[in-house]
Amino acid sequence: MAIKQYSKEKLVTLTRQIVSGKLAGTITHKAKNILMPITGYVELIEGGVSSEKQKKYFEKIEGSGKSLQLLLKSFLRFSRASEEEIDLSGLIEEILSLFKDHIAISKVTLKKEIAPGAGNVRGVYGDVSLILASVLLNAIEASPQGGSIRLFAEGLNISIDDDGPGVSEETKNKIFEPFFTTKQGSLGIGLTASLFLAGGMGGDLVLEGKNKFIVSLCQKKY
Amino acid sequence: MEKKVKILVVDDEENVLDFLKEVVESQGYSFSSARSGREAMDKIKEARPNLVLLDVVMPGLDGLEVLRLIREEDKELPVVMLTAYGTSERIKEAMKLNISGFIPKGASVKEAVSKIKTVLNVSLK
Repeated sequence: MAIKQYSKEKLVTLTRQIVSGKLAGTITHKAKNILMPITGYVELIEGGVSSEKQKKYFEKIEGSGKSLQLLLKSFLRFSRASEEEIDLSGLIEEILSLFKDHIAISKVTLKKEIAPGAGNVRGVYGDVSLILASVLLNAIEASPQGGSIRLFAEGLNISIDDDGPGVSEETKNKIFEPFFTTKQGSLGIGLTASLFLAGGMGGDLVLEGKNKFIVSLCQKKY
Repeated sequence: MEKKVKILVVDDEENVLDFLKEVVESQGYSFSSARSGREAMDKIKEARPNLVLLDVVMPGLDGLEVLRLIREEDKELPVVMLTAYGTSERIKEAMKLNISGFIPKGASVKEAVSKIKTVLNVSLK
């Protein structure tokens, strides 16, 4: 593969497409869970129910419609390209919500701790989301079935570690190289793109020990 | 007085449980629910349902694992899997564990009720 022809920007774009593709599956799953009651309540109303039930079902339909709107909004925000003030804890919750079904399907458990007062950062929402999503996906794919992933956020730092075998000493210095991967089916660009994006914000992405990735964001502007 | 047929619905999504409660009760069946695999196993022992509607994708114990646990306890209890996107491989696995069928999450109320009635007619004979 002609690696040199891939600029950092192309790697980020490719990573965004891969992550969005993975998310599309779980979004579809989630959307079906929301749509099932919407179409179902309509069918129940059409079949004839009391006015009390009808009112209740309309409220449920409205609630489900709002949930669907929120879901799609979160998905769209994942690619939002404008610079803004980002509430980091809100962004983390949003990403975890998008990945909830992917985590369940992958048979891993997520334990999160967001320290009070997790910071605000100025940056591109879609970029910060992609940094976090790529590191999270890396942990999900590295974790054995039944394993756990731990996410801890404090200030502008987010650490994610997993129960996988971890990165060996021999491969540690290659882990951020584009197209380097030890996982079957992985292209090996997610961490590269995340490092590039974090670095572009004046932050960093480092591997601590064998399993823990630490994203450090920074208030510095692009 | 004739005893009501009891249906246990296992799904981690509250809006799905709320909706299926309406569907189940509209047919005159008794509804109970569980939001996790562990809770489902407790409810099965406690309430002895006539039918279990079981979601495939759940955090913790997933539908397939719950099904295996059910089969360790009861080889005949009718179980219908609730399926959504990306679960076809698990359904193939579930078929080997004597499920009574599946209801896609995009199914209409009519289709879902028809499946439930067919399964109950066979199992309650």
